[in-house]
Amino acid sequence: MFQPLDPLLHSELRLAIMSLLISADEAEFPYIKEQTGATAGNLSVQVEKLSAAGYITVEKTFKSKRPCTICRITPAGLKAFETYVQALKSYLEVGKA
Amino acid sequence: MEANNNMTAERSLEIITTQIAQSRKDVSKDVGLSLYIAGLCTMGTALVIGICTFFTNNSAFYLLYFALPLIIYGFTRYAKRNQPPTPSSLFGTMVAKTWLTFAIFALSFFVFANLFDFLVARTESPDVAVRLMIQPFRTILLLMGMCVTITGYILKSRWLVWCGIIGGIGGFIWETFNVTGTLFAYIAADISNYCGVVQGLIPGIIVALFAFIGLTLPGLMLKRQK
Repeated sequence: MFQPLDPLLHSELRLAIMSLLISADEAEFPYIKEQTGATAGNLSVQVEKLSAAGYITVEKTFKSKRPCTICRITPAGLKAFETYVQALKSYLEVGKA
Repeated sequence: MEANNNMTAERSLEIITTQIAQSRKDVSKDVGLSLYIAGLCTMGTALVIGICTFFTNNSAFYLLYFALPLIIYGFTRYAKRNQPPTPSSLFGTMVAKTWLTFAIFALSFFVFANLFDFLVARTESPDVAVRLMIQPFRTILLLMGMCVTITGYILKSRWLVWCGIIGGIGGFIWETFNVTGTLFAYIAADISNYCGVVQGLIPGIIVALFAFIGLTLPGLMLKRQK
């Protein structure tokens, strides 16, 4: 039986953002942009969606007088990611069989 | 990468794996640069101390090792001035904590060993003092090798693991049996500044050599990885 995939995470860019934040405690916006290869506008929209769902927190601060946006994964985001990976496994196991 | 919602399970897995691997690689490169700079600074300081001790016969130059953390910190800050900051991650934190532990243990042991040797030299007869004295270098080399090996395991770098094992255990055995001093005693026992060479120049060269194997070389490899 297939487990449902979280539609919020089942998107290339949002999944890439979450995967980056899983292995990092926190990441700055330019770093995420560079790693995912997304445009700033598109990335902003996806970050906002993840933030609205409570999966990540977005902190706007200043670094050497320059604006700096820091993203962090939340416990709810971590749980959602774990559930997503578990669901993914059920699809892959069926694919193998 | 766009907001494509029609992904296969394989594609999802690929994205997760790629991003996590990329994060590990970024930390590896960052650690590589730090190791490379630490290695060069250690080699430079060891050689300067060795040369100064050789020419002056004054072991007070060994105190320059206390400035080494500051020298490394300064050069690392300078080398990374134009680099985007690597995000703090589990791998980075583990590597940083490993080296912080090394710094605490190595510096504490170095201070304790020198104070102990100082007291023993003044309170005991020379033949007893020689037996009681602590040689800190071999233990510090062993600790350094252990840290390089642990870093190699964290970053999944086989080169780093082997450099740590060879540098740490090799350095410990080499120093324990005073291999260079013994060899030198056979080859050039009659040179004018024998004490300066054995107490100053050779320890400096040994530290520089093992810093090259344990820090500079693995750092260069991590730094250059694609």
